[in-house]
Amino acid sequence: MGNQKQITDFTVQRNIGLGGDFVQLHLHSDCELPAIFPGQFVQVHVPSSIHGWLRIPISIHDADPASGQLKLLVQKVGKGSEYLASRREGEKVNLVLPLGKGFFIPEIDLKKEVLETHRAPYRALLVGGGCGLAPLYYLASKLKEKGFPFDILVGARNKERLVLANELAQLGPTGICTEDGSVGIKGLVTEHPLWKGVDYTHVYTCGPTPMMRAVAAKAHEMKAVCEVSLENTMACGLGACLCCVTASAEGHHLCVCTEGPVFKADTLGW
Amino acid sequence: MNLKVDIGNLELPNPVLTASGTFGYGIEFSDFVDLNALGGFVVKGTTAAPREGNPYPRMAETPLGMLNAVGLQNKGVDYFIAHIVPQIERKRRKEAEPFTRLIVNVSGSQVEEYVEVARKLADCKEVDAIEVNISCPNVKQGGMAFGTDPRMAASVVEAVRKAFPRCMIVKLSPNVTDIAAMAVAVEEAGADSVSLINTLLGMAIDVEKQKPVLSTVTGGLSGPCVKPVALRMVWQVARLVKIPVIGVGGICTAGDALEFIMAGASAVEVGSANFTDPSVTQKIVAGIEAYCNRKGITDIRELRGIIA
Repeated sequence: MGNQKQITDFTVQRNIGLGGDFVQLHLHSDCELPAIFPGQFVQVHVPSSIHGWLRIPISIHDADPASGQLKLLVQKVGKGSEYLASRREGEKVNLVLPLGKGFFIPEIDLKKEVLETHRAPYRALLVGGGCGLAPLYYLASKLKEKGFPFDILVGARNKERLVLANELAQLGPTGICTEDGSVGIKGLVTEHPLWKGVDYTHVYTCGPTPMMRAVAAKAHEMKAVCEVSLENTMACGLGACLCCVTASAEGHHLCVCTEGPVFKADTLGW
Repeated sequence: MNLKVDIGNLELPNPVLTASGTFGYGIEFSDFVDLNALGGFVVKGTTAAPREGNPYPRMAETPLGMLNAVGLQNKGVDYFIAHIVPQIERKRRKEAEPFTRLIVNVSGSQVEEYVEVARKLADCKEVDAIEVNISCPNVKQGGMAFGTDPRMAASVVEAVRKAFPRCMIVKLSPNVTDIAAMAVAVEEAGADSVSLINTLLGMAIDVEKQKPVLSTVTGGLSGPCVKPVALRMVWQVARLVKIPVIGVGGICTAGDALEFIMAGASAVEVGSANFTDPSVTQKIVAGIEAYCNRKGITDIRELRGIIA
């Protein structure tokens, strides 16, 4: 399987409400799909309307290219995502995929230097909240498939806004934090006891920016490699328009859609 | 059937080009489009020195359009020639004339900067033409300032003319009272062609945050919403100048492209539509061909300017 990008029609097989604003879409394509790595994203076509006409970027929640299966987790936050979340069984969705660079996985040779600079045995912590858990799910399933050890930390404001926690718990040890203590540990993800006692070599995080910043600081303390997944607004998704940039640690502009969306936290200027 | 058109002394295989800043260096789209199926592609604004561009956020979606404030982020002309041109050349087939053309959008803050870029590109034989950008609304100095004063526009064009001997297109700003006067000024100053329109100056406000959406407050509006304005301006300019006109602004379909040709354009550039459908340019070429077949037109040039 190559890394070629393509424009492909998918058929909605299932639309599952996960509570709150969240919908899980199970998609299928008869076309052969390229290799898809955790942390990559798709650009979804939405019909042009007075509200918009650009595609919307959605991270890949799960994929099995060999069987044409793809899952997306959609949070209804705007007209585009509301359209996507309302697609029913049998309806078509047009995607450009796979886009961007994903998370580092040992033996998947995307970012070789990370492992080479790190001598301790690999052990990962995956930390996310809300829609940020979507790519972490795919990452966890790949790590599990390859037999790499990892733990998961899920954060939410409260029980009602908690999403994917049960699904993630089936892949690996999963800790939960809620700000009001309605489920799991009361507090922020950085306050969970999982951080104590285990020396993680890699921390992966995706979710609200303040959470990712706090997680990156915590990972830095324990000298773990930290990767964060950004979701800047973008137009092309192909590295052409340069609308989605973020500042690097040196003050240069990095293109989120092609140099990311996953970045090593210490390369960013935040 | 003939789709070939001339822009000055440069023959294009067909009238469909891409608009600068919306198609990267072409190579980003090569999974979706056979670049050789296009008349040519205009690569993004290139300056003498590398530019970081404006801070994020640089984009706002608007009804049937978008605002951008990228601010000419690019790695500079030397990097372009050394590292990008060879990658582009690996994608181009040049066995049979006319082949798809590489056109470089040239930007600057001062006349000397335009000249420096143009001179370096003149020595790079792979570059078939340049498009002088005197109309970027997103840079503090130069850019659009050159494109809103006929005398300043003429001074840039005259200077670049001396530095670049091949086809020179000048891209015009719509943010003027009389775009036809600008077109006439750059024609007299030696332009081989004019392309229009660049983006319209606009802005958007986030009412929840009570702040502008763009870091620069204002930005350039593009997309289907600007097409009627662009079409009107192309029609006005094409009636007044003798040099070929390239129509740009909101083109999404073959029908849109044909409207510009009927209004007097020799060729068109497809811009923001590349974002919603990365393969749209090739579809537009095929659509123009299908239209000509259906209407019994043997040469695309028969349609040029039929709307008097």
